[in-house]
Amino acid sequence: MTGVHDIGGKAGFGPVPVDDDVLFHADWERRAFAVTQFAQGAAGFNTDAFRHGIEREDPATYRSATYFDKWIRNAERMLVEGGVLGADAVTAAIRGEAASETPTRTTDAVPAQGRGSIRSPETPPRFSVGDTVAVVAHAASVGHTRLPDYVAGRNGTVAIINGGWIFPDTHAHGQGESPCWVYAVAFNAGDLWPETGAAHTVYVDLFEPYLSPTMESS
Amino acid sequence: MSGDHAHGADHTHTPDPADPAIRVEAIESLLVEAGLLDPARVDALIERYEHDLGPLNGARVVARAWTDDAYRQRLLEDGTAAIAELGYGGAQGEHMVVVENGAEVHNLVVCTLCSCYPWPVLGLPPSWYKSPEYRARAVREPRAVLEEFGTELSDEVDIRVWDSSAEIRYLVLPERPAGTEHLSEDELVALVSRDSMIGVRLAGTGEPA
Repeated sequence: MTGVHDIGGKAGFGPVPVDDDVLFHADWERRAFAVTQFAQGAAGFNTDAFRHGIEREDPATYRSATYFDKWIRNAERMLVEGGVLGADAVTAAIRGEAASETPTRTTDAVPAQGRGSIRSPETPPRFSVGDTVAVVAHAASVGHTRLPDYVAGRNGTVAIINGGWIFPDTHAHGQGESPCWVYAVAFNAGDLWPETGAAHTVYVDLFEPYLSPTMESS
Repeated sequence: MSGDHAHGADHTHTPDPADPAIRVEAIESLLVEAGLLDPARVDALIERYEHDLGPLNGARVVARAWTDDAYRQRLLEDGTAAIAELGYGGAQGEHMVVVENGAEVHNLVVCTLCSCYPWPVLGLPPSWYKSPEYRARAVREPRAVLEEFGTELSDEVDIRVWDSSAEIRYLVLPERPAGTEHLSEDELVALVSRDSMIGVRLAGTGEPA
């Protein structure tokens, strides 16, 4: 899903707020950081489903809300979808009222099976360092993906084979871990954004299902 | 679930349900009431990520690499294992790759899709790292972004931007500042800023880690 979060390379953004240097601006942001992680556990979400929750934020709210506001909104989303809280529970509690909606699990998210995200794919890496690869033009599903839009449909060169990992596109939706290889793929910025005259290189970590051989190399 | 809450009818004002500070307090209270959360664990998690982990860990890795070339080689070959030699690893650092800055190459790290960052060596990211401006622009116009941090590089320098789009986490090994040959490993730690390990500044500039 090319969502509102997928902003790499988008034009029109102003100066980086280099002086906004703190980890937390207020004590509630500290609580939000920790409470949201415990909410994720209570709701039975994995890391990929957690990220997809933030990506499903209303686009206008995604743009206007602060970072930890988005986290705490995601905590509530996970707890409601995970069947821990009724949909009106938090607002009712703030108003000192009784919640009326029954908690009902509606998510397909599942906790990760085992620690961490490193897994062994069933097949050897399809690509080698130095191979030219073509990135798919669009993510395969309307759900979660870690394919940034700015490299979709572009050609790059495999720089590093970066190990085997849980595939976020299936794992975020309870469709299994589908272990696959991840490659750091190098792209010429001049190819990505020819209008800028840029000459640097951008390395993007891409999961093997996003890649295919190019016409020249196949 | 009970609707009882500390914000009762005795208050003359009505708490704003849209206020995130009010909302996080309510969520924490509901989880505690449900027996799903111990507030002490919240405090402990905050303490760990705000104070125990931080860029001082990364600075120790860098200073070791500057003074021990065999360690530097191991760090560049297998970052995760070499960093583990100093006792650092864990969440958001399962697989760490170290990229080396020098006179001809300058590396810069970003996460365009969210806010991925190598927690075991740098702690939690500063706000600007998570800003839409940094996320959007670092990949497209890194020289302009670097200049906003006061970092000007010659046109000949090969700039490499690493977008942390999977679970691999990147740490920049900054170039050792000139004229520091006489300093000890411990003294060098003080020259390694957090920002130099993200790649937005050079070592010897910016706040110490």
